[in-house]
Amino acid sequence: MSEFDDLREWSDVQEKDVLVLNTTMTCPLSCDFCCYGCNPKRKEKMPLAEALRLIDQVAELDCFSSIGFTGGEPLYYLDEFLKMTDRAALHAIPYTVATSGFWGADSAQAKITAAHLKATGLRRLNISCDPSHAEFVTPEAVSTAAKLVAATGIPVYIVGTFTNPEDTLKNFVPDLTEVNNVHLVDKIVAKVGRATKWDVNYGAAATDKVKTCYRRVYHDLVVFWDGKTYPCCSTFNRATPGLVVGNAFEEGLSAIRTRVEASLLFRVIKREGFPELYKIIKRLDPELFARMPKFDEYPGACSACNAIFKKDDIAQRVYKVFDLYRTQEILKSMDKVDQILGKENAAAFFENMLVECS
Amino acid sequence: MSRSRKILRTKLETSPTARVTFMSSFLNLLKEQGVDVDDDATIADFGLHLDLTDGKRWFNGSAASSAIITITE
Repeated sequence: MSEFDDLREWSDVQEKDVLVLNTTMTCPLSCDFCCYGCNPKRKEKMPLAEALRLIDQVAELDCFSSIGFTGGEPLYYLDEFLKMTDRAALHAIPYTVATSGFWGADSAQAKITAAHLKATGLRRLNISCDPSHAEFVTPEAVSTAAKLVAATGIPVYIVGTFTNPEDTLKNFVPDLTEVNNVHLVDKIVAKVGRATKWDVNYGAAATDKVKTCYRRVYHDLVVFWDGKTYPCCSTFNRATPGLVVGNAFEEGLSAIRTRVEASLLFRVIKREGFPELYKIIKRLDPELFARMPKFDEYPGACSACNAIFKKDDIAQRVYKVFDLYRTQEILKSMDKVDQILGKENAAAFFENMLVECS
Repeated sequence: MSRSRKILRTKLETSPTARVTFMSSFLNLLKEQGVDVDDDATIADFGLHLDLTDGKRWFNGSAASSAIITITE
């Protein structure tokens, strides 16, 4: 099995690492379930110079395959968005965008925007559309934006987030069901942000939940407007302080990425899942295990992860356990290197590794 | 045990930075020694959770709208 067999990308593109720029909390909408509590009055915005610097860094690192722009509404500050996407294009870095499609309300301007997106390397457009978003952006505006971009050959994914598993985009935006290059994706509200206390029916999904992170290999490094960086694009990320992996305004993306890749904690929850994390903690720190929120009490891996890592004392202790575990596993792997490579090759391996680690 | 191995072991036991470097350099250095790092079974033998052991797919059972933009289906 190749590493990609396990990754069901939305398109046939096989992403490696992705830098996601959450450029602003400003949004012309104020959706009742917004995970970040965005609205038109919020002013947080990533400085353009920092965004451009991050895009330049992506160009220098082989591990990144694209950039994602999200928010808030990433097209709200259109001039700056255009500069960022121009910079991505300058480096020939493809990008994706998550938007409300509010810009589809002005069809003349939307044509210009769609042409820019096409010209600068948009790989995929995600438009949120559901009853909550429709209070602020009409399905007609979404339809205009979607059709204009889809007509350029770029895949458009309409994402509907509902409170009931029975609700679907097929019923909500019937005119988009048969449009070439437009795909409809139904999801259920996550209990985070404004929806934290909602009573959400997860239906069958709650009993057949996936136990791993959504990306098994590679990483989505999400940098918010203030530079805080998270290892995933979960809607719970910002509500999970224990997941912060650095500040991309203060250190290089490469250093942050190396830390994430070298984390045995992330490797375990991405590849083997949360049951393995609990197993390891139970063995190495039974007292912590007894205090931890239980995986079965949450509808999915992201909500369980949020429950574990939102509390600083538990998060720090989990990190401590995993640093001990990593040390133990590294020492074991050295024995394996000896056994598998044989004396001569193992000696060369250790020599080289010592140089790396010095 | 070679001298390099002994020094490396001590470094790894005492330095978090060395542990990060070990983890991030491991596959490349194995490759330099002729190991087929694309072979899952071979890689699994070395430990460190380098292999993908759980074939379950994220969105088949996803309960919440957890991924914003680069989500896999």
